[in-house]
Amino acid sequence: MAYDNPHAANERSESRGVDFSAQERLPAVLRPLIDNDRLRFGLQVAPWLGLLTLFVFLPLASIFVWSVAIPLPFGFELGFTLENYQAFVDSYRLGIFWTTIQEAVLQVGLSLLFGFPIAYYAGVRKRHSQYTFPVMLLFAIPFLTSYILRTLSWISFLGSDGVFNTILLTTGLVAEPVGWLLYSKFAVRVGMLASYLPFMIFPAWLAMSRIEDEILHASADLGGSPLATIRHIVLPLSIPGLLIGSVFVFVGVLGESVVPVILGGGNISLIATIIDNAVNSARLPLASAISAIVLLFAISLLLLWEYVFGLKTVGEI
Amino acid sequence: MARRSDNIDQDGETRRNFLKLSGGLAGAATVGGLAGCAGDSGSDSTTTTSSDGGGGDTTTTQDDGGNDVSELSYWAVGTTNPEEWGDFTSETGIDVNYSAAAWSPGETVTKLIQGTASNDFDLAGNDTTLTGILSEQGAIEPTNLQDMENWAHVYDEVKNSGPTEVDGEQHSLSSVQNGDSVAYLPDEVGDPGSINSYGILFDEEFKGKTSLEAGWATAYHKVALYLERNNLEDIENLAEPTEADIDKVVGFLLDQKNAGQFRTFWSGWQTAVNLLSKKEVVAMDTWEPVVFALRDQDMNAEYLEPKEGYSLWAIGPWLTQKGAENRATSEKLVNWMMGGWYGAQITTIRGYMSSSELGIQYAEESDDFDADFVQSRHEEVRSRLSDDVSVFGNRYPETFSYMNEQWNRLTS
Repeated sequence: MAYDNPHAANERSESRGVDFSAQERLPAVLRPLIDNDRLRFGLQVAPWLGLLTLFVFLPLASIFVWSVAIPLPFGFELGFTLENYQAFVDSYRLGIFWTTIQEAVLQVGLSLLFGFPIAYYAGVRKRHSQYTFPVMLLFAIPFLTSYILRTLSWISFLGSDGVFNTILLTTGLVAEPVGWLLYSKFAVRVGMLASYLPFMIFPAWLAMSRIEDEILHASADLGGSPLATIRHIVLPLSIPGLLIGSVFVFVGVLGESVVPVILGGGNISLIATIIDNAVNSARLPLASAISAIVLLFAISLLLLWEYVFGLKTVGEI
Repeated sequence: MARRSDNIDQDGETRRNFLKLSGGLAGAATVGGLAGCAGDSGSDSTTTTSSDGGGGDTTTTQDDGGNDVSELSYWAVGTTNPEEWGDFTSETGIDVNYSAAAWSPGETVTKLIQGTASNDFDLAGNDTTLTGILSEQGAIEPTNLQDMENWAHVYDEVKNSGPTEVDGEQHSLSSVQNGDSVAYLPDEVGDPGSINSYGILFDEEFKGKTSLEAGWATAYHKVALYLERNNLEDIENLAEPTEADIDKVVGFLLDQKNAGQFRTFWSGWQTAVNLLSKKEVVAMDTWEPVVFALRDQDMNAEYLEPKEGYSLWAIGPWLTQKGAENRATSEKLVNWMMGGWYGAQITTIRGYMSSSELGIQYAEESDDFDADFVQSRHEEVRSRLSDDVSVFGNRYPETFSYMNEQWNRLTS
């Protein structure tokens, strides 16, 4: 028996400076499973890999399989064709994909513009206030309501008899309601900014909250102005949060199908709407091909991030 | 009555099973389960044909199932939902489990043919112009309408409307119907007496103040009627759009859109009502009940009587594969949907015409309904169904994919 002398076992564990007692209490027949590093790693990873495979990799794989399936009048036949990709490239859909990327970049920019000051105020200037956390939670309240209803509510603000037009008319700034506030690119951008701003604020706030007081005080002690502190201390140290926020916003816009339909009035479409249209037109292979392209695009962005910053930045906030 | 066996198309059956399997696998893989694979048609349909020899009056009687069930599942557009099923339950002792469906031809066809809807629900209700394709693909079975008590009361305009026929025989019922045109605000647009054309949607005077529905199934045929009847374009087939027809209609609409004619492409009931009630638009291709809703808000709203003709539509219950297995019970619901309470209720709450005069009779005998309103709606819609200019446009034409492609280009 391997454990006929527990004291000896303890001594062996302690002698190596690491507590291996748990492994050493295992029956001898199981010991090789634990002693072998690769096998142990495999056993630890297997359950998670299984779950990932079931819930992530299989559905994603099916998208790629269907994207090359042969379309039929009432469905598709598994096989190999590139005509679904061709239908994406040779049509207005490519232009819409480009528009989506532009709008996603714009939303990232707008989110940084509006989100950074809010995160800075909460995470640096008012970091010790008892009201900061409750106030920041207010940004999460919209997530408790239906996304569609939240988007529809913008019509009450942007419409001809909406809040903004009423103010403009009452103050005499305009003689008649401003039409482009609603059913326009402007309306879509406002609607999306409202939806995705919290995705920038929260990671940025988290990153800024973790900057130590001593560092901020040191900057002030050395005569650094608030702007200089932002530039040389806050900004560099909050980059991981800002990057993650940017990814959240960018990917969110890639999958956005509600706001353009409700607020866009047919003046702007994003790629997710085109995927919806393909599904509703019983063209699952085409929808899969577009989804595959969007997915590959998102993955390549992540790889680019890894190349430039390293994925470890995720763990730095 | 001579019986004959139904010739089951073996290839079609195999293909259908494959499509169901692939649809099921699609769903299963997506949700990570196998629920989508459940179900098989299991139908052993036999068709009985009789000819009385007196003029070739052929009737077909389906006898493929007589299971009695205590609850029927009905998956349909809200248009045919009377909101209350108590009258049917008290009459038959059968409950109805209603599930809402979108008025989306593609989605309906996909779910019934590729998916499992034909085995999940006893009855399905959607645009009747899908009847042919759903029957051809074996997703639905014929209803024994001639054997039903209320069938004799159904208007000839409904029986002969066309879309519910397959191979010249009445296949299923259209329980709710209307002719669609355009809702407009006379206070903003002008005297209703002078407005009689879809041209109101494209009038430069109302630039940026008109709207079309986002889906083509409502809007396309009206625009095609406008172009053809005013000799603006040569539309080859108003009911069954060809690719050339689609190009002409969409091309025309794209020009209009790029010129800023449309405020938006709307979808959904509340959006339609709000657009007009808040005067975001003054004329809009939409459903007639929108006008009734606006009048309820004391707004002056009218529904266009277009010289080019109405865009006709009908919705009715189909017997699915599952429904055919429970035929005896399922057909009780179909018969009830031709009856008095259902007819009076549908016209009262939606403003559409039911299938028979029994709705009017019931309303006259009941204090719960406005018989004059029900009667006036029936007269109005019957005249639309029987005029020479209105068109029953096919919502699942052979050019379905092309139509979607081009229409999405327009609304994107």
